Amino acid sequence: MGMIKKTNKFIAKSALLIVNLNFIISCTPIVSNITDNLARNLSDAVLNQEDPKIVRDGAPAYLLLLDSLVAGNPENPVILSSASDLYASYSAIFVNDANRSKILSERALKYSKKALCISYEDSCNWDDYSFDDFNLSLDDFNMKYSDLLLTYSTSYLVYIRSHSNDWNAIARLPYIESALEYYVEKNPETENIDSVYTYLGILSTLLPPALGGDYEKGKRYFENAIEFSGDQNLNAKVEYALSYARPLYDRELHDKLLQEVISSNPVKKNYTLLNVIAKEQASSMLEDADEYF
Amino acid sequence: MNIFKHIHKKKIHLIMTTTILFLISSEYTFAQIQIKIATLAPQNSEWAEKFQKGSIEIQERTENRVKLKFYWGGAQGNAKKILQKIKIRQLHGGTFSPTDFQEVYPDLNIYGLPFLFKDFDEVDYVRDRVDDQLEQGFKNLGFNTYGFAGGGFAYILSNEPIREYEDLKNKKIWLPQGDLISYEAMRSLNLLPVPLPMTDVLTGLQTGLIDIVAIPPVVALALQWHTKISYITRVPVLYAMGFLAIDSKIINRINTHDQKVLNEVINRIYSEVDSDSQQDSENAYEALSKIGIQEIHFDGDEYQKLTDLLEEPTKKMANDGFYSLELFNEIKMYIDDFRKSPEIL
Repeated sequence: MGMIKKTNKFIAKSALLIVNLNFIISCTPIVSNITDNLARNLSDAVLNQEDPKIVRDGAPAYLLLLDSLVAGNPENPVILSSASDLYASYSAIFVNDANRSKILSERALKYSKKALCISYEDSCNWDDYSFDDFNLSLDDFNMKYSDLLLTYSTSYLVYIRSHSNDWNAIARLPYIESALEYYVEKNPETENIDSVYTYLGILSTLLPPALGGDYEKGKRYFENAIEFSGDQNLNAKVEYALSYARPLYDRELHDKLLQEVISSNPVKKNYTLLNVIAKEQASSMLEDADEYF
Repeated sequence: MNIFKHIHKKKIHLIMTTTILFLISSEYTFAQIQIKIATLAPQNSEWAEKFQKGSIEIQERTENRVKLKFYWGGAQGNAKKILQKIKIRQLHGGTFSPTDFQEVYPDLNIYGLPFLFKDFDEVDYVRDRVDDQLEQGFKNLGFNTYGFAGGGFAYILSNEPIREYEDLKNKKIWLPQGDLISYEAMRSLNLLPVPLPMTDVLTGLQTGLIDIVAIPPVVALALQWHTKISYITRVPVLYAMGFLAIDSKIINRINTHDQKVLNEVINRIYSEVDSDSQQDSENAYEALSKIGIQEIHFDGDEYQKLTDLLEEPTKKMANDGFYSLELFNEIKMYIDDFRKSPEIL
């Protein structure tokens, strides 16, 4: 007792960005043409950027821009979702300060909840639902809002990560896992499904097998993530090594996955930024592998 | 020449002796001692984070002479296996719960007697007076410990409201494997205990293999058991705790200064975890309420009824060697004192 207290460090930081920024692209046609072009060009520029520092330094200006758009269109779910996506991504990838991360993730969640609540009324009360009621409500969910559901789920994961001392946040984990499983079931062919599989892989392996973690399921999710990305998502391999191979002390698999990441060219359309970050993480994990194993 | 030879021989002897002494002393003072510790806690837990930071502090303050190496997530097997591995020196320590020491140190289970404590104030009062005694017992077993970390009270989690003793009857109640005291207590109350490994509980709740679990809210949330239950009965079934035990043999190889550092850091971590545990337990309880788990209270004097029913069985268990009658009586005396004058805390 008292050992298994709180989960943290469990979100694939970089995996978030690819889902979120591509969502901005897909949603932007509803927004004005100017915003549309801006969002599209900026998102492409971000995802294909090879220098994470440029993105880190430039993103805050874009966050302010999205805030002003939300202020002008407070009931527009597309704008709310876009703002949520960028806040969540920026918080997860670039913010190390715990307090800042809390504040940014709270805003991301607030925006995504509102976007979903406007589109699917039942979701306005999801925070009060029991797990069974939440799943029943998901069954009635209209999948034309599936992008909003994904934004809600990812922003919630970022929120939980930055509020890992809060049991109310921890209690939401299985709910979000359910929402993502539902998303995958209903959208098996969607673009960037590899990132959703990566989240699910991480969530399935949060608890060690000795405490009920389903590692076989986690393994399948990670392998799906790699397969569905056409081997382009290097982050999926890093997370596979971190969340599956390390806890099982499977050195062979761990090193194999990370070596593959190291030897891959990170420049792939819409994966470049994340792959660059993944390669850095792979090097650092290999460096301390002797220590860990 | 002979004199020279003699001097030469003496010199060689001196050099050899010095070298041996140096080698011996260097092992004690300079070589790195790695303490291998196995735990069920996953590396992504807050507990692990505290220990990883603590380990770095120990390494820095002992100038790299002492290092803690952790094996996370039950990778080294269950408590029984960990204790076997400590015996053959593959490991040096582990984190445990009292039931893991049931055979060799039964007294350790005494805080976990069902319906012994009513609230945290009683626990604090008793622990202030008994913890040192229990820790001393570990030294006799050849282990060093660093305080106990409370895990909060186990409450009744169920899919049907449990308001009285009768509601518990004919229900399949989960017990951790190896918790002999709770098993005996339940049998004496004519209840149906079902011992299962933790890995099977979620499925057990889903399939009806078990109806009830008694567990601290923090554990229920961490293991996501809250997704399979609807009610929580706010009755303190038992007090849970955990601890770290390290083989004294490896501790004795560490010089005095470094032992001090090790003790200070680990004691501090355990003390922090312990002092946070009460608030943590309350927060987790509230979190369960917020997600629709309905709070139930025992009717009238049902709590007293259960404690009365358990009085004789707990004495019998002491007589049967589950724990010492002397320690049990001492704790009961402290509890009675406290109940008479709670202001003495």
